[in-house]
Amino acid sequence: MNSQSIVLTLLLALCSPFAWAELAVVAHPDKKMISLDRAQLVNIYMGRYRQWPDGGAALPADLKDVKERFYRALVDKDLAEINSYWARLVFSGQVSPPVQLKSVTQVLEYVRRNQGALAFIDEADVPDDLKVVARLTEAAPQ
Amino acid sequence: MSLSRLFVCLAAIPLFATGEAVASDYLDGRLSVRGFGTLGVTYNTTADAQFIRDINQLDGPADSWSHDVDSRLGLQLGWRFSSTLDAVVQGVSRYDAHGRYDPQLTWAFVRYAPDASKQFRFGRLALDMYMLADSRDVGYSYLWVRPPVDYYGIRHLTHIDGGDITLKRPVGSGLLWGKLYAGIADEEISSGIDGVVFDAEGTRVYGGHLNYQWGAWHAQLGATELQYQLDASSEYMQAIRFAEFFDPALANLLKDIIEPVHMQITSLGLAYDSGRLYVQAMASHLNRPGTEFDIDSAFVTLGYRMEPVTPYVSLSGSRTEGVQYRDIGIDVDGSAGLTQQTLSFGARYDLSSSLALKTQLDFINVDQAGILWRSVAPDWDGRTEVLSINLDFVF
Repeated sequence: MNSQSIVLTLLLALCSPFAWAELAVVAHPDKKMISLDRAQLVNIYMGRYRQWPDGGAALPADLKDVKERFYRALVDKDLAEINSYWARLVFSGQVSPPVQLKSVTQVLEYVRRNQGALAFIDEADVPDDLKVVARLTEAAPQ
Repeated sequence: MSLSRLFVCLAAIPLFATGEAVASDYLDGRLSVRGFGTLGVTYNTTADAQFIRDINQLDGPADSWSHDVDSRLGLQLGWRFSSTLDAVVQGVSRYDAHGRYDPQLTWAFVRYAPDASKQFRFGRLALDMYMLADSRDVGYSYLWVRPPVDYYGIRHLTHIDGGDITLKRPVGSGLLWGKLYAGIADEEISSGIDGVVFDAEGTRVYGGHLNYQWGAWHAQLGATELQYQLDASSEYMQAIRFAEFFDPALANLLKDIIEPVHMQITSLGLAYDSGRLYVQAMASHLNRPGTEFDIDSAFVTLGYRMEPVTPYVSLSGSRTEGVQYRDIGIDVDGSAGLTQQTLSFGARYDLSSSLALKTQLDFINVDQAGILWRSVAPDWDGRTEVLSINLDFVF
């Protein structure tokens, strides 16, 4: 492999969706004026403070197949650590974990139906009618 | 089949379940059923004193293995009436002051949370006196095989019948929140004397804490007032009358133990959790009338996540002035109190997202053997090692 093709391969790797995939956090169309920063997203998803900046209750949902990537990008934790974190909050009677959903279809339906709902999906799955309130970029695989 | 055998069999059931730990939700998510547990074995190298996890336990291992120190099973039922009103009932079975696994109702409350900034709970509540105090039984939720004994071992009140209020608001880049609670305790503790059990029912508890969470940091400042009251059995009262004849000083000490007292506990906690690096440190002071049994205690734990293993090291200790044995008529050098230090090394291995295997080795150095040890030999040099292997799960 000559030096040109090495550079080309590296560039392709950097552009590949596996290296720089984006996750989108979608919400009800009514939230069109709102965007969330990382700290607000952590507050909502980790059960610290579940309120939208405009005042309504935030109802987060987890999508099973994307969950591991989402929490890695959000708080750099694996699913065992996330479950351990929730065990403490749940069994001390504080707050419940996000609603667990299995498919993108279920997620979209949940978000369309509930005004305060938010959920993460792959950027490629974002439909036109929902509002993207945050984006998370995944780190390149080690 | 003994209760403890039955308990172990029950606890083993979730091991056959595979994969993810998820609560079971029924009736369109209104009813939730969740559980947690620990199967643990503990070996204490000294034959001169029995190791216990907290003062609620009747006895513990001495130069032997025991499955009673950490093994426990909990079950929680939740019912959601509406998006702002729900109810939770939780029971735990663990080795208790009578040496049994009688299930205990640890919480049963109704919660009203009109929005994210306010929450009101009424009923039987976890006593949230300091960080992790309300989840001490849930081994799966922390790194150690058990919360540091020097720090948590004497804090035996786990719940109150009363209420609490939590208020939160974003401040700067973090979250400021506080909690106030008040209620009456309903718990039994082992006296450590020949199976005598004290009843702490009627103890009044008031307190609160203030927290600030920002990024990976969490700081907590807490204060609690306890109007502590212990009822002793008739055997204990008889022992006092008997002691009055041959050792009035000892009789006075036994009387002092059950005198109603006001105690104050103040604590400061700091935690850092960046995803990989985990650090937690706490310090507290327990103040009671007289200075002999004021207790200062602290711990610091450092863990580093190397998926799926998290090795950790922890240093903890507690200190009292203590009371000289000779002052209470016992002809032995030294003093009774609660001065000891523990250095622990351990690792948590996550077998799945609902099951963790942990092992921990504690090096313990005791200067004043007090209520945290059972059946202490007078000539014990105060040194021991404790090895623990636990399997923690949630379902």
